[in-house]
Amino acid sequence: MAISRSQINGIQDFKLRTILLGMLDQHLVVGQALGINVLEPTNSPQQPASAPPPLASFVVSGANGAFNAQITNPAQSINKTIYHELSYCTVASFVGSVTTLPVQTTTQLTLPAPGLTVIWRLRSSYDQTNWNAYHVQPGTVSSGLQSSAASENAVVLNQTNYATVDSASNVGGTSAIVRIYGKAGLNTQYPSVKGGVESIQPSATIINVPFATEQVVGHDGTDYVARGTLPEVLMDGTTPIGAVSVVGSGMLTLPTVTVTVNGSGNVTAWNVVSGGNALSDPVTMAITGSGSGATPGAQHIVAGVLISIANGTAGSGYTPGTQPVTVSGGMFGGSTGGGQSIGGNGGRLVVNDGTTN
Amino acid sequence: MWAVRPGPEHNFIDGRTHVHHVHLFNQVTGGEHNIDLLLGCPKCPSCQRPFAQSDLGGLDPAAEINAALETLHANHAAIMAYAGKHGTPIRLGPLASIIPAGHKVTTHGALKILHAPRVK
Repeated sequence: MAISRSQINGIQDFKLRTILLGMLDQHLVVGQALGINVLEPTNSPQQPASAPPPLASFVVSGANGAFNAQITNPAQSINKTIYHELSYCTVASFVGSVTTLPVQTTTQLTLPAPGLTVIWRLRSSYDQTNWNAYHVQPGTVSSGLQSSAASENAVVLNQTNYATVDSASNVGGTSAIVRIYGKAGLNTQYPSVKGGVESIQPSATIINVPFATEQVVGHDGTDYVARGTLPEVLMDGTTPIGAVSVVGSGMLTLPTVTVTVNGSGNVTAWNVVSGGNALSDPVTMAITGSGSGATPGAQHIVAGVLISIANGTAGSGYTPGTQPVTVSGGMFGGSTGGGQSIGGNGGRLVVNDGTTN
Repeated sequence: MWAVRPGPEHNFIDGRTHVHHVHLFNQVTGGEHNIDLLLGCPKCPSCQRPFAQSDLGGLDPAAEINAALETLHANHAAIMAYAGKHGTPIRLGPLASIIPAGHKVTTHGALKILHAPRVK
């Protein structure tokens, strides 16, 4: 049975009424602190607490591009679920653009918001319906900007490395290798710098790299990855190390090619007699004999073998029939080195500090 | 003193990228060297179209590892001889786990330094 103050006030005996009112006040104080009401019991201890809670204290600070809020629940709200709503605004009157964060029951919050200076306020509730008054933290709080040391590896500012990334043919001449190493030479480690922190990265040898390709090497903290373009190594967690233009094969067999010339002296077809081997670049072709103006089309090379040649310009004045073609080239020179310019960051945004590699 | 780091996480094929990663380390100095064998799909250098990887038999990871270890061992021996001859301490990496006979390791803050016996 519920006991109310009005019931007690209806008692005629002054002493008894005074005693019961005192007991009632004590029960109410204890009940509010514990979130219960022993004088009006229910199945849910939360239900009676519809009145807003006392003000919670809170402190919001800013550092490293983020706000950090710490809320301290009022002592009277022990054992109760208390909902907090933090909001901020650039003006103290909180008129205009107010950002309200989702209601939370936790007492800590980290909000990434680089470069923001705002005023914070807090209100609390037991039921998300009845809220207490806003509690405004005096003064503005600046989140600051994210430091370099706190940024992900692929963020390009204020970081560099001193790796050399180059390539060479393997011993058998069947594929290329890409080497990542430090200033002391092959198989030596190199320093990388991020913000004010220097760390030593492992050297590496990447084996079975296709000849005559462009490779951009990144390091994910454990392994190296070789990709065809810079954006492929720009995901968070991967540090771009350097770019390299991989050398071509040194063991080359040129293909044999002929052309078919019609009765008018025009080239009608380019014929691959033998495809050659280890081609790493389109070959250069010149028709033997008279005539001029004929050029081949695109060359299709598979596994270093010339498969077909598309027709290009027909030209004129050629001797009808099948004519031989002089073939040259076919090997991509590539370039040793790469990724070893200033700062060791081929393709990356770095400051040229005047040092040499 | 160079060896493959123990555990499958240091000698494995990444099934997504088709790269065989091998992590080597120097047990004395803590040096690290990675070997990455690309098992991926080659392509036409002219038209850039991919063609199937028909044969990986030309790749021998054990031979590659042994060749790398041989070179690294020789380099390590030369470095240790140099340090011993000139009495120069060696700053160790975090993976250093073996102290050679006659050597000692001192700690200076976060640094671990290996001191070689002076060779006369």
